[in-house]
Amino acid sequence: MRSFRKIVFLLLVSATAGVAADNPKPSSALSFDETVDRVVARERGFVVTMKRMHPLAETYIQNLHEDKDHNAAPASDQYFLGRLDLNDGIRDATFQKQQQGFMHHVVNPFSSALEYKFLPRGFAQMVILDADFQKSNYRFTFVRREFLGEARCIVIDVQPGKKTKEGLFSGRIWVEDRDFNIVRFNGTYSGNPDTHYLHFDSWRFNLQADVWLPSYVYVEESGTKLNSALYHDLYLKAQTRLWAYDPEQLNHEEEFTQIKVDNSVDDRQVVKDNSPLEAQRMWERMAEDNAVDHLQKIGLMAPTGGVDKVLQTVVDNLIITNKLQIEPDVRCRVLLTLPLESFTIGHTVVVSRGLLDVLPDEASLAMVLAHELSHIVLGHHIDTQLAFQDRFFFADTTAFQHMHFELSPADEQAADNKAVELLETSPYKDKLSNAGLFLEALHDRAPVLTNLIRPRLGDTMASGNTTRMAALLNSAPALQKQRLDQIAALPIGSRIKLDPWSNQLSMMSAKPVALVSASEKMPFEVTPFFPFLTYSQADRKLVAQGSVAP
Amino acid sequence: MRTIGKICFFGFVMVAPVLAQKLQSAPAPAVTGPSYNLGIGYSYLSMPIPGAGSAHFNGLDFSGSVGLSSRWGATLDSNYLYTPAVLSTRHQGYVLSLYTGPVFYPVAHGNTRVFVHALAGAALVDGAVPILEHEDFHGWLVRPSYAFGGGVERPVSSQLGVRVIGDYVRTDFYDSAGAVQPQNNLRLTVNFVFRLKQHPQRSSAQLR
Repeated sequence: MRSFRKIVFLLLVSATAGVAADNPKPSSALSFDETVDRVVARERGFVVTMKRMHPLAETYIQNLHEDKDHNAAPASDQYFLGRLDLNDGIRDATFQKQQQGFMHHVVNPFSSALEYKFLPRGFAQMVILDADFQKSNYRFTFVRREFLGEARCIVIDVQPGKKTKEGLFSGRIWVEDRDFNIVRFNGTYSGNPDTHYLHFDSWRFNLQADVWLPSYVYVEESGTKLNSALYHDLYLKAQTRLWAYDPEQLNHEEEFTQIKVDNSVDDRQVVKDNSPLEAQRMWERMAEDNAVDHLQKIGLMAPTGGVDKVLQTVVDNLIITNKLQIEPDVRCRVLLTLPLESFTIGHTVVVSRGLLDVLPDEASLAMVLAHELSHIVLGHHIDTQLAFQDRFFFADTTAFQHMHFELSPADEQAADNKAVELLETSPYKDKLSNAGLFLEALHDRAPVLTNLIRPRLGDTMASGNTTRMAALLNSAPALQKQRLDQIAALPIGSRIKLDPWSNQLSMMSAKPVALVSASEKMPFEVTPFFPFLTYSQADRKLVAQGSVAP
Repeated sequence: MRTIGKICFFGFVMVAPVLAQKLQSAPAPAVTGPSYNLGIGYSYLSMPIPGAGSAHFNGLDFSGSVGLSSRWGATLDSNYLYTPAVLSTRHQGYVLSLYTGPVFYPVAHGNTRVFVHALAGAALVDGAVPILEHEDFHGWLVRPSYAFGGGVERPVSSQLGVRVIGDYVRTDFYDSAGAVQPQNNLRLTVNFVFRLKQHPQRSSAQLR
């Protein structure tokens, strides 16, 4: 079944890509006009391919405010997570923590008459250059050749032709010159002044052989402020990330013939009966496994991988130095979403990608993990209703409404106290001022970055005047935003790299860069993307085979 | 004429979604929000007087509008239209009206937009009706009133635009027998439109 789907998918990709591939010719041998023909054909094929894809699309927007010194800082934020569907126009099914009731629409039918409202599908739209890309609608101008990572690209300026409809792309495209796929486009859509098309920089990754799919979109709008309440301006930065492309994962079906054998042992050598305590633990573990599996299945949790091991190492450090005996073992997993949160599902510690991204050092990570480990040590139990599989029969987009792992304020306070104890006897005890500094920065930004800090599934890091592990704030130095050597928190996207196809996470390998000014610290802030584009392994093999051919 | 009004209204209701659907091939905007406009301009109104020809009114038009999305908006429109003499009578006349209602933009080409609107409100008609050769009746009447129409608008700068509107305006006034009768007027308006909201500037300030 799985192989069949793979074949169908590959056939689809080959068919849509076929127009350009039918007549292979080295890019240097093609005229510019022929190159444009191939680019257009490829892009039309890409749109067909995308209609079969239903990745998750996460958009995080920071509205900016400029102070009198012309420094821009986030003033508010917005967050969307949804499943993208390009069939019948752009649609996205948005994950919502709470269902908006009838009264919301009655009381607030024209909210957009009073304030700007961000539309998730408008951000998702930016993965498509033009759903009906036609050469006749545009003027193409060759700019230069340039490398984006491994991909040698032809850079072309694209402008709507005269007397064309509105909504056409206007900007610059980067076309890799091996197969003429657009790998990056940067610009906006043309429109009338009341249609708010934003400026964006859209990147595609080579996720499978010959398949380039949207992965990152950076959006930025900035404008001069006029001192009148009647004048409004958009002044924002936003990131959209896409993942969970793998169609096999999304079908949510296991192989019919697959038999899952977990924890199998040679039962001839062990006692077969389980005590009531063991039965209770197994029941809790089943609930835990069900929840973790479901989160992974719907693309919200990363498969086990290298980043989990990093977390596991820190947890093991805490366990060993505190001489803790925990049965069953503590496991660590990463939630793929941005909002800063961590929680436990039974004995599984879960930390969000966004939180890992902004933590400045290992001591801060230890602080987060120590808090969650404390929940486990204190026996804050999982909701064992999750041991029943029917609890997971709900639409993916309602996951935040059906799955919640937050604990009571009393449990949170107890975990805070216990975590301080654990940290005091850990290898991180001398570096806790850094962790306190992170909490200070979090406390400082919490009032404006409410959507970044609001948890979707688990426990909040900060809320109102309360900050998790507040005791560590006392040991922290004062937050000095102008000091270059005081890094309290990192920009979003600083640590974790996400494979949009497989959802696998890895640590980024960016080299450390010295700061020039305090404005480059950008704690918790959105920054542009500049990924190093690479060809997929399969494409590399194809090239290698091609290069030895006579 | 009531039937025509109803047909126009239902036609508007039916056609608007179809046109809107057709236009959905354009990319979805990422932001929707209000755009506020103030308009001031000249209006001309042709008012048929039963059995006596048409009276011609000229005057000022004031309007305010808000764009709720790229396709929909709402407007508040006010007219003061004057004529020094109503037909052959020695009486001056004026029409003072206030309407509000939705505006739909079915077609846009570049920065030029075509719109249709359906407005309802009230009109004060002060006029005269010839009764005999040297005798006429004059008076004023306030009644609910409505207007259907459409037009074209085009910005000439980031803050200023021009709007040309033509519409059918339904008012009431007395006939020569003193009975209240509907009037089917045609109105032509040319407005200068001032944009109160500045749309996003393009890369004019540094972010950091």
